[in-house]
Amino acid sequence: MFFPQMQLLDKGVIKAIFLVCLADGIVGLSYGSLASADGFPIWVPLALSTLVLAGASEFLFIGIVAGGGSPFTAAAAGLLVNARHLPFGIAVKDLVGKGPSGWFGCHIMNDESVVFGISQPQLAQRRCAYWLCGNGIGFIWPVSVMTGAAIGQFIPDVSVIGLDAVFPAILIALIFPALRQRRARIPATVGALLSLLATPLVPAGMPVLFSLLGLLTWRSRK
Amino acid sequence: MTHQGMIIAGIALLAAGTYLMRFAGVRLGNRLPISERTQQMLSDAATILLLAVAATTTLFEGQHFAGVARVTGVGFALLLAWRRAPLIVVILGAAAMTALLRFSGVP
Repeated sequence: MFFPQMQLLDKGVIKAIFLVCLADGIVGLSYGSLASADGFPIWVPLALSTLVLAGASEFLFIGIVAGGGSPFTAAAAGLLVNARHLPFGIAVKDLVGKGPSGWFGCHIMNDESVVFGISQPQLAQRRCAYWLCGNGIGFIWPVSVMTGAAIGQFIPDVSVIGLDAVFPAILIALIFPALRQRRARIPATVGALLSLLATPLVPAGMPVLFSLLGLLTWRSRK
Repeated sequence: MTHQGMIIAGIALLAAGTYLMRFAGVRLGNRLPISERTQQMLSDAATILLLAVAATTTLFEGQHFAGVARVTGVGFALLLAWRRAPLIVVILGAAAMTALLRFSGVP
């Protein structure tokens, strides 16, 4: 599974995975250079990007520590942001694989690999998309973060080229077919509204978990 | 403990905790009963979470409004997805619309 059989996948899906990895790489450059501008030695972003491999929680960790907060507070805040990986793990249990490769398969779990995985029609394609996107990001993220940290001065502004809109856009595009069915659409809409209402009130990471309350409106139907 | 030692401990805690949550989810999933109904619900739970991630990152930067440019860019992507445009068009469309609006001075 380390080298997924790409021929199983639709060409458009492969291109989209490539673009998402590219976008992640540009964000990584920016994150690496910011971390070095904040005065962190290079092993901090290196350790975070390889061992944690979850962008939003890494930004939060760096931001809290750079602002003078305790690294333990920063770790706790990051763990809250990453709590959604537990329900993600339940949903992609058949995609990560068994045994030692499955242990690595867990590590490459993120929003993008999960969404590409669950949005494919057949199990073989789901596995392949999950692994291709997971490996791609697992590779490009540490490399681009290191490159950004090494360059240091040059900080690409990801908002100028609209990259901040790319990540929600790809999530929505890939879950769109599932949302065409009432079974998923009703609880997902309720959940998204709950998390939007909660965002200004509770710490980062919790609003997304509140969306699971939308499952209360879930009914088995076509 | 030195500050450097605390940073190492903080990273170790974040890395180990994050991995454990990923791993625990998969293990838990393998133990749950595998009726078709449960399967459907678990797959929809992921969809629910992903829509919530998309909605909050579209509208908010931290706890503040993310600005009109990003929201319009994602809205344009939504329109493209609804018209069944190819994924690449959706991705590039969102970035181009957002960048164009920012270039024209929209926040």
